[in-house]
Amino acid sequence: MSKDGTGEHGGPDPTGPAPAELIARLYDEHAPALRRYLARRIGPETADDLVAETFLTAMTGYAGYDQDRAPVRSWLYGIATNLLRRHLRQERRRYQATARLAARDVPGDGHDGAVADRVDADARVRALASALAKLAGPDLDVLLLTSWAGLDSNEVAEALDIPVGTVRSRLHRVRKSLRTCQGGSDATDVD
Amino acid sequence: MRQMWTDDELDQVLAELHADVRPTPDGLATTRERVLSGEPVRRRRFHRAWLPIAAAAAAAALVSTVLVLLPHTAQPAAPPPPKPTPVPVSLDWVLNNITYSDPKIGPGHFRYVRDQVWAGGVSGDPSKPLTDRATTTWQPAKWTDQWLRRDSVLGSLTVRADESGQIVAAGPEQKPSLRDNDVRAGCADFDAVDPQHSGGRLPCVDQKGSWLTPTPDWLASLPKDAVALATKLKAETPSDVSPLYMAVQALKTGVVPADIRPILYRALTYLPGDASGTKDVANLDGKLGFAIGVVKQGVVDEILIDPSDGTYLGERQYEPANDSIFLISAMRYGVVDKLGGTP
Repeated sequence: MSKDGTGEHGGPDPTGPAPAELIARLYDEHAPALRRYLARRIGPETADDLVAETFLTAMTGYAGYDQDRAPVRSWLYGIATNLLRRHLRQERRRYQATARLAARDVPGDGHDGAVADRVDADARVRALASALAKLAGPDLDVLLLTSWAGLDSNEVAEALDIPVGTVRSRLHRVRKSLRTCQGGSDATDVD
Repeated sequence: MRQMWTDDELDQVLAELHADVRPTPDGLATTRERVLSGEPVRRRRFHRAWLPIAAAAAAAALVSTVLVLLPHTAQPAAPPPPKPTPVPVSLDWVLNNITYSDPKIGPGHFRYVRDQVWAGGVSGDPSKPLTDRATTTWQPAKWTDQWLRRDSVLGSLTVRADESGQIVAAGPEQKPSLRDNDVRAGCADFDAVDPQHSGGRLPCVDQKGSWLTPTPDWLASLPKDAVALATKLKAETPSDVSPLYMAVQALKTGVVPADIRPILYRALTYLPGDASGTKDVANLDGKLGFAIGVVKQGVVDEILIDPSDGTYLGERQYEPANDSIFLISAMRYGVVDKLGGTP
């Protein structure tokens, strides 16, 4: 047991300090990034609730946490991903709304090149949002845990409790479909 | 296969999408206090208690009386007069008491179909802002002539429950700095004119109908038997959404004709979940209609129907056990004499 009560991988040590103190430490370390990730997927208001639920779940489930199975970061994102799955329809609506809204007004300062670039960039973002709205939930998880949460393939595998080979093949397939503007997932695909 | 982006370009666009998330007034500090106090994540309670799922129709009564439509002005609106209380009725009664008709659209005229939705409160907490959006389409008399679709963000507003359980505005509606987005295309084939979607396809050419984009040919091919139509609907619904959601996507286009709507409404009663009927249920505009509701995993999904012509009036989605309201909408219909006109 380490002096600060955490386990070897920086996660909870069931024989260490009381869970509240440990959760507070984990919260301070991981909540800002987790909240930003969730807010990008589901919106800022619901992200606050999901952050709270994630850490409350961690607090109540900490006795069952196996630090040899997943580092704490992966464990927390795994909890958050499970909670996020209940809101998949709302997440899809968020992407659909982004895909169909016009660009924000750009000041007409006469810099036509910059304006044109901004319009092009907005069009690309809308196209991506439209494609994401059609992805199956597991594909969104792998793609965005990698791209928005910054997890590597091993961490994604630990978070989602799937083989790392599955993570890599799924990520490759999803990215290929997005790059070629095919966008949608076949929900019946099984890796 | 058309290459659109390189890997680097995809990474760049992924980095941009939804990158501008904003902090909330509560912030991480308040969330931290909630976590460490062990406070369960719960939704704001209305002063009236929700009834058990078995009495979903009575719960629907609470929803219809507590929601207040706010006009799109900067001032908070006065609450509307009390509405009739929704009454549970049998599904057969609902289905047998609807009259179906469609308006005639003469040359040079357009069918106006407007779908306004309050949504975005996934948690159902009325203290969280809801986004007010509308999608309006203008359908020409001839299918292949030019249609217009306008997407608008009307505003966002924070709501609260007052002493009687009514939801009222907690402040003026915030107006966005977003322009309306207009798209024009023949055959309502809007994806064809979007360079990111069309792949070079022209509107009306090789257009494939679906629940999301119904076409006359696709509608004509639908089974005329409600059980068979329910089977088709379930089979063509992606695994992560409900069949009722797919049916709503078709209905809100306004193009499902009067001879198919009764079959579709009856088909909804064969979907998984507990189905129920209610009369005198109000949509977001306060217009009363019949509701066919499907309860699944505690969430009530309702479509609202105008019994005078069988048109789709809107939808409601809520979870009585948590006082959560996820969505409410209203459809408006009319006939106008120009694209972009209003009834």
